Amino acid sequence: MQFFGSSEISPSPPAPTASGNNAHMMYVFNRNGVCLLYREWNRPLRTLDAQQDQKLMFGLLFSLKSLTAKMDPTTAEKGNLGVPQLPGQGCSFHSFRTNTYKLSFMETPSGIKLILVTHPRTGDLREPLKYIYNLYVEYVAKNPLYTPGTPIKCELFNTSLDQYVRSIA
Amino acid sequence: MIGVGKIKQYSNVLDKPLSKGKQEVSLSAFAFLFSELVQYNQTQVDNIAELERRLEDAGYAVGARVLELLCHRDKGNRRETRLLGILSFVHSTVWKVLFGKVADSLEKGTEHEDEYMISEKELLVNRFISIPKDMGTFNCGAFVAGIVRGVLDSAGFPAVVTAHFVPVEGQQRPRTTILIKFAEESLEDVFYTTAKALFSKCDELSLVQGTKKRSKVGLMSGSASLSNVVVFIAPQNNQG
Amino acid sequence: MTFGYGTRLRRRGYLLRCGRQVEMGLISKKKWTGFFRKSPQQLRLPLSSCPSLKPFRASSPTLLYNCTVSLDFSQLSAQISMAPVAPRSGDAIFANVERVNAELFTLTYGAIVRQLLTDLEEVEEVNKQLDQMGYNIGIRLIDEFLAKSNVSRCVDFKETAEVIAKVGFKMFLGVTASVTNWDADGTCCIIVLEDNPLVDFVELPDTCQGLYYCNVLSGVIRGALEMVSMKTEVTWLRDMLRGDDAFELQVKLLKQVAEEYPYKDDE
Repeated sequence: MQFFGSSEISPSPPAPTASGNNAHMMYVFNRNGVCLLYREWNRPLRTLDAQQDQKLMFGLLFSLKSLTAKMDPTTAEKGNLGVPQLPGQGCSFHSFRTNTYKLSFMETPSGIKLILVTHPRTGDLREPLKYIYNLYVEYVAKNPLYTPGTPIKCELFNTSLDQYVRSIA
Repeated sequence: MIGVGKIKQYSNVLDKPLSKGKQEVSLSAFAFLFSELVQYNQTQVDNIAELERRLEDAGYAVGARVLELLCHRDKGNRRETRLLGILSFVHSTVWKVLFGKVADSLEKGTEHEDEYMISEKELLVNRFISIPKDMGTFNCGAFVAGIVRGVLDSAGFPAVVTAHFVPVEGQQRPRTTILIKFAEESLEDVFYTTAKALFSKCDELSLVQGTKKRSKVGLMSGSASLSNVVVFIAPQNNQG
Repeated sequence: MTFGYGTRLRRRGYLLRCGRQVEMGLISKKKWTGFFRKSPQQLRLPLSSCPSLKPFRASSPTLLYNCTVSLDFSQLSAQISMAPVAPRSGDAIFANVERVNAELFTLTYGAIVRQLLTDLEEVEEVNKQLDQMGYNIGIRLIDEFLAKSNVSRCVDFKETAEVIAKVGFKMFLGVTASVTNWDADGTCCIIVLEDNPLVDFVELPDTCQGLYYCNVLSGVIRGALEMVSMKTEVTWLRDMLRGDDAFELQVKLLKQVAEEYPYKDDE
C-alpha cells in the first residue's frame, strides 16, 4: 500500500547520494504496546515528548492495520471495524509512503512490531526488517540479562542495528 | 497412536547404556535455558558477587559430572593426575565436548607460579550478552569458571577459578579469560596429594598389590572422584 | 580460488544461512537441497565478490568442519533469494542452526533443578518454579521460533499444535514429537515426545518422588503460545521418570485472546 506513491503532490527531497544517512528513526513495540526501543538517526523534528510520540506511532499503526484489513476486497469474512483482531488475522500492510518519508512496518505473530522510517525513495524493506527481527532474536531475546517487556538496553543489539541500518536504505 | 514413543524404558538409570555424547540440541535452546538460570539467580541475590557465586555453584555441579562422564567414557576410567595434564584436559577435551572447540589458549600466569589462564575470544555463554553499565564487571563466564573448578576439584586439584573480561586491541568485544589459581596442595607432588585425599576420604585403605618400583603410586581405576579410587602402593612404602 | 555454495570441498558441501549476513559451514548435499530447494550447483558465487569474507584455513577436516565464514551479501542479494517463504521443516532448521552438545544442556538443566531443590526445599514449589521458568523461556523463545521457521501466522490451534510437535521440538531439542488424541472441538490434544534430552542421567531419588522434572517443557509451551494469543493449560499426563512408559503432555486451549488497544484514553 502506498499513499501518494507516484503522483507526487510536492516534490520529494532529492534522492540521497551518500548512503548511510537515509534512515530517520526506528521503533520496536511489543504486543502490549510497550515501546522497547526508539532509535533516532536523523530527525530534525522534535515537538512531542518521547512518550507521546511513541503512543502516537503505535496508535497510527494500530488503526491503520485494522482499517487496511477492513478495506480488503479479497476476503469475505471480516469483523466489524473496531472489533479486535487476533494477530495474524486479516491482511497486513507493510509500508506507506508520503512525499517526505517512507514508513516500513513488520509485525510478527508474537506481536513484536518493527517500524523503520526512511527516505521516501528507499526500496522494499521487508527483508531488512526481517533481518532486524533476527538481530532482535539474537541479541535481545537471547541476552541472559534482558528481562522481556523492558526497554532494550543491549549494546550489542544497538551497535549491530546502527551498522546494518547504515548499510541499507 | 498412544505410546508411540520409541524410548526404551529402563527400570534403573544405570541400566541405560551411556550415550556416546553425539546428541545435540540447538544452541538457542541452551542459550534460553542459560538465560533463565541467570534470571532466576538474579532474583535470589542482592549483589553481583553473590550472583557470580551462584552461577559458579551451578557450573561446579556441571563440571564435577563432566569429569565423571568423560573419564568413564573417553579415558577408560583413568583421569589425569598431573597438574599440566589436567589443565590440558580441561583446555582441550572438556572444552571440545562442552563447547565444540578447543579453548583459544592456555597460558601460565607471568606473575604467579600458581596461576593459569584459559582464554576464549567468544565464550559460549557470553555470545549474546550485553552487560548493562550498572552491572559493572559482571561476567556470565562465572558459570564456566564453575565448570572448570568442578572438574579440577573433583580430580583432586582444588583451585579458585574466576572469569574476567579482557579487552583486546582492535576488537569491539572483550575476550573472556578464566583465571585458575591453584590451592597450595594442588601444586604438591602427586603422591602426597593422592595420599592425603585418600586418607581424608576413606575409612580404610586396603593394600591391593605391590609394584616393583619403590614409592610408585598410580591411580589405576575407579571413577574420577577420589572416594572410590583403588591405589597400588609398593610394599616397601606401605606405611602410606 | 572460487567457491560457490555447492562447491564440494573435501567431499562435503557447503551451506549458508540467514539473511544478508550469511554464515557458511559444511553440510551434506542432501540437507542443502532440502533447505534451499535447489541443488548446490545452481547457486555459485565467486570468492572475489564477497569482500568481507573472513579467511579460514582448511588444513584439516575437523577444522573445516567447525569453521564458519561470514559473507556480506548486500551486493548480491539480487542474485539470490535465499529465504524460503514457505514454513520450513523442523529437520531443515535443525540442520542449519548452531548446535551444542546435548550433555551441556542436560547437565545445566540438572544444575538448575538442583539449585531449586536447595533453595525451595518443597518439591511442589520446585514444580511451580520450573513451570514459571519454562514460561519465561517460552515468551522469549517464540521469537526465535518465528524468525527461524518462517511461520507467519498461528490462528488455527490444530495446526499450531502440529507445528509445535513437528517443528518446535525438532528445532530446539533435535527430537520429534507427535500429536494425538484430539478432542471433538479441536481444542485439546496430547503431545507425545519420542525422546527427551532433559532426562539423560536422571533418576528421581526417593525424596523427590513428586517432582515433575521436565516441568520446564510444559511452561515453555504455555509461554510461547500465550505470546501468539493462545491461553493454554499444559499438563504432564505421563512421565517416564515417574514410572510411566512415555512422555506425554496434554495441551488444552482455554481461549484465544484478541489484540486490543493497550492504552486507555485518559492516559
